[in-house]
Amino acid sequence: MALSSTTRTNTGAQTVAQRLQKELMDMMTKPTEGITAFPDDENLQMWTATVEGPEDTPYAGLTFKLAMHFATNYPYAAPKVVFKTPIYHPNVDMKGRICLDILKDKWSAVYNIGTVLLSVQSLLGEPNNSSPLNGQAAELWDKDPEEFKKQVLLRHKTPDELDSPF
Amino acid sequence: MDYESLIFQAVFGGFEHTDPTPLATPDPGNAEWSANPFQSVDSEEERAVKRNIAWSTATRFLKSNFPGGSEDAHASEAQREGKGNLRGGHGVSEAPSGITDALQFLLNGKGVSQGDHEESLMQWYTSEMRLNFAKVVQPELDDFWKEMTDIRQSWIMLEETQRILETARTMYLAPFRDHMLPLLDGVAAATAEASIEEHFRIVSAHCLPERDVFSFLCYVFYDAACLKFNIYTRKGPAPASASASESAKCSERLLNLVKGLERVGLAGDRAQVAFAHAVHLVLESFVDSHHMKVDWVEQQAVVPQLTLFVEKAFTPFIKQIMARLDANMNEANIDRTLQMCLDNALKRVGKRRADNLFDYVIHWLQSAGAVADLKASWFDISSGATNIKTKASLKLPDSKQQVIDSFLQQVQRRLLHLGATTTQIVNVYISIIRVFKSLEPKGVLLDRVSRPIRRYLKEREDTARIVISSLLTDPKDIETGQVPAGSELSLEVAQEMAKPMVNPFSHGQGGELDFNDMNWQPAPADAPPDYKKSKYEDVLWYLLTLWDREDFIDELKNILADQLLRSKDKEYQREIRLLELIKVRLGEDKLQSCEVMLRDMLESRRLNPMWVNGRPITPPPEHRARPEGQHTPSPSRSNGPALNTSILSSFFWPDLNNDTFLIPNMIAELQREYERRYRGIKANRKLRWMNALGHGSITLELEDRTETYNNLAPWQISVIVAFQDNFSAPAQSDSNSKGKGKETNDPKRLTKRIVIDLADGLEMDPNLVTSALHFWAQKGVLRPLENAPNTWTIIENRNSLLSTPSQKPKSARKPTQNIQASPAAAGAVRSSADLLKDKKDVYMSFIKGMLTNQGAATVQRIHMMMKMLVQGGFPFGVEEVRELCEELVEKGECVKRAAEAYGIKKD
Repeated sequence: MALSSTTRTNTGAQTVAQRLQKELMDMMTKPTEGITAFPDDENLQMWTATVEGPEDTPYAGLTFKLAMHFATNYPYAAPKVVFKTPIYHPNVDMKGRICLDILKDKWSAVYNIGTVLLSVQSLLGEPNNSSPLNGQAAELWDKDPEEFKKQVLLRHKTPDELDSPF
Repeated sequence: MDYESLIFQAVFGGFEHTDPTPLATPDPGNAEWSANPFQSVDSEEERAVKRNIAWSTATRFLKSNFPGGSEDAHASEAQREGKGNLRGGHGVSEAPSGITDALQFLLNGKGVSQGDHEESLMQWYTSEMRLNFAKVVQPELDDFWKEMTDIRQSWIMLEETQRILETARTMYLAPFRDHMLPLLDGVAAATAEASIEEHFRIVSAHCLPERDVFSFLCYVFYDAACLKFNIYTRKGPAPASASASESAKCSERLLNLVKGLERVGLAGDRAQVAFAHAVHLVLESFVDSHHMKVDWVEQQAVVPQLTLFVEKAFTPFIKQIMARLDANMNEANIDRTLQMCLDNALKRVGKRRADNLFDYVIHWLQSAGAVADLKASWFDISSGATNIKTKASLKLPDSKQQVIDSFLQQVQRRLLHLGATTTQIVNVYISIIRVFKSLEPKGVLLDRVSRPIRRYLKEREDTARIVISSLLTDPKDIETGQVPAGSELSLEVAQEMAKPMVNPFSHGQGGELDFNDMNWQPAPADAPPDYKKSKYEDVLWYLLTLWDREDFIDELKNILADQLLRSKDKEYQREIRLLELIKVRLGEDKLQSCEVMLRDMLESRRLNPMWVNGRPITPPPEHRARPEGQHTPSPSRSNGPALNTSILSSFFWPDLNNDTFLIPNMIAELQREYERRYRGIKANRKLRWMNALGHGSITLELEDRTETYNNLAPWQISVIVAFQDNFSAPAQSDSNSKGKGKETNDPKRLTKRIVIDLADGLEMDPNLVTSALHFWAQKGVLRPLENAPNTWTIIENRNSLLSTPSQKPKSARKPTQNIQASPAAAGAVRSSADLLKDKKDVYMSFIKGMLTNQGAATVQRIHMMMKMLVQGGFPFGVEEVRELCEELVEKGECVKRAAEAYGIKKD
């Protein structure tokens, strides 16, 4: 039993790596504006993604970094995606966790890194205020866009600030 | 005498007895003695007195008979000056009767020593002899030896010494023989004489510097043997090849000397040791001599000669001498010793051959003799019925190990470095395979020796290319130099390929489990654990197993593709053969795409005439996309151009070079027609023309000449045709002008073309255009206009050029180098530079993605990540990565951070 399960895991890791490598290749050959992602190291399980805030939203002109983690049964399980850049958003909590249906129960194996990031990007412009993680933000989004924008900028840090140890 | 004084006496010589009784004692010649006073001895006291008197008389007499022992010291000195006392023999002095009586009394009568305290006359005699020797003979010898120390004078030295000692011996023995011997009876006489001789031997043996005697003896033996057997080494004097009589004389001389030395006691155990030493040296010299030189002519082993020599010539000689040296010679002992010597000599042969093994490998086949020697020194030599049983003394594993080690060192030092071309290494490797196969057919040694070479060959990038292209080349072509310039091919490989193939499966497929294999043998004892015996290991097998199968097949695909596209042999016989060969060795499953490639070519050739009716035929097509246009703007008979097409299955062929450019209209039309027909047959296949891969012929009709050029690259044709067409509108074809003719109708107007225009009009790379222009200039068809840069025109009339002769050579000569500067365009398979250019965008976005998400990174890290992450591998090095980064910096997308690090540029 032990033997067979090990074998399966091995081959599983193999195919995950292949799949991720292919996705990486696809993203490189057909880059999407405003979205990039790249593995942290050669084992391909941890990625860092960069998403630019969409125009005509409070996030316009801002750059957000996300961390993605792929389980060994990817793409049959959704990747874990969190914001590394602090963000003020109705569906993102203070620790950067995202409430997005396709990352939870609506996940399907046909999604890939590109589509996930695209969803995250569009979530920035169209929050789902019916099930907020950040109630205040959800309230402000509708009531006071000016204040919302101020909160966003207050909370935001550029990648350089993030990297700096202070 | 008590024990202590005995010892003292043994060391320092006796003293009590040394002087005869004082002079005061009565003169032995006195009359009162003459009445035989010894006749009746009664009492003990009387006996003692009588004995004393007799002793005194006898010793004094005997002493006077010794060399230098005459009455007084002066006389003896005077005598010694001329050495006369040693050389000139004493006349035997007749002993007076009184003395005889005294001797008789002492030897046989009552005067015989009684008990320990009385010294016997024999003891006195020997001691006296010893003392006398030290006084008289020793100084002379010392003087003599001081003068002569040159080893080359050994003969004289030993002979002279022997003579001196011989004389001394005679003189010491003479008194004894003359006066004492007759008085003794048989047995006692023999013992006494033997004892005296023995004593003399001991004395003489210790009188000379031992080391010198040893080396002189050695030298004499050695010299005699060398002369006798005509052995000389480079170190020695010129080979005065001794005549038979001379060598016979020499051995006679030696035998005499040995006999003499034996007599005087210089031939004892030490001489035997010296002799053994000399025997060893002789054998070594024999090995080093011309007798054992590598046989380059007959290519036979010389080891049997060595055995034969030892057996038939050397052994009798040794035994002859040993018989003189040692009377109790034991033949079996000598044989055993000789066997050891022979083994040593064999070892020496083996070592000498092993030291130069690398040279023999390089000169393999001529050096077969040397290798056979090495082999013979390892294994039993069966030289018929012989009393010398040759044991394979070198069969010890460590002797092989030594050979391996020394050979590997040579290889490392002389072969596996950057100075050696891959072709050389491959050739040497093939030689190594052959040599070691002949040395040891089981291949264990080969396996060990070849590991570093194989490793090294694998590291070289061009190995696979050279090996495979050599496989595909006809050895005759290499010999006659009919190979493309600059290509590195190994003649050895090509020849190996030309050999008939042995069917590996002809004898039993079962390998180790073939129970019917009556010739089965276990793996050799010294085989490494991963030793594998292959039944069909020939040179090609070793070469083809250099790489992993996959790597090899990838390389094979590239080269095969190139070969197929170039091959002039329309039957592709060599390629088919190669493929079959490799299939046998690597298994069929992996070579599918190679087979498809071959089939593509053959099938295209077959199908071509069916579709291009009534036109001259060249090569061929098949299904599934990516055809390669092999268009032949037909010269000759028919008035239109002809097209032959090869259809390559894009899925199976490696990446092919596809420089894009427009081809002449007439050809493009044919292509369209071909495509139409093709679609009619194979509906859902798509054709993609690879114009760059074809070749063609063209006939140019100029004002004063008509010339046909064959085997041109399509881009060359496109360019020259552009000088005819109104090429700026290539789409609007003048199909009626066919493949011939320049602007014959308007010769006065010069057709001028500017490089840039041509490049634009043909959608061709400007470099390629220039290269084509130079090509035609070299052919004397085009020339550059000197007043307008980058502008070229046709030489319609050669005579017109003659008026300005300086021009032509210039325009014709210079471009020569430039033509070769475009090999990328000629090779069918993509070069890595092309690949980099193609994928540059992907790589750049890779780098950007990495820098954006991971922050700044060094070139090395970028390179490492790309190597790991790019699908299909990243075949480039750090340099290329740096170039890409620099390009990104130029584009303003990146910034250079620290020395080697790059980061993304912030807005």
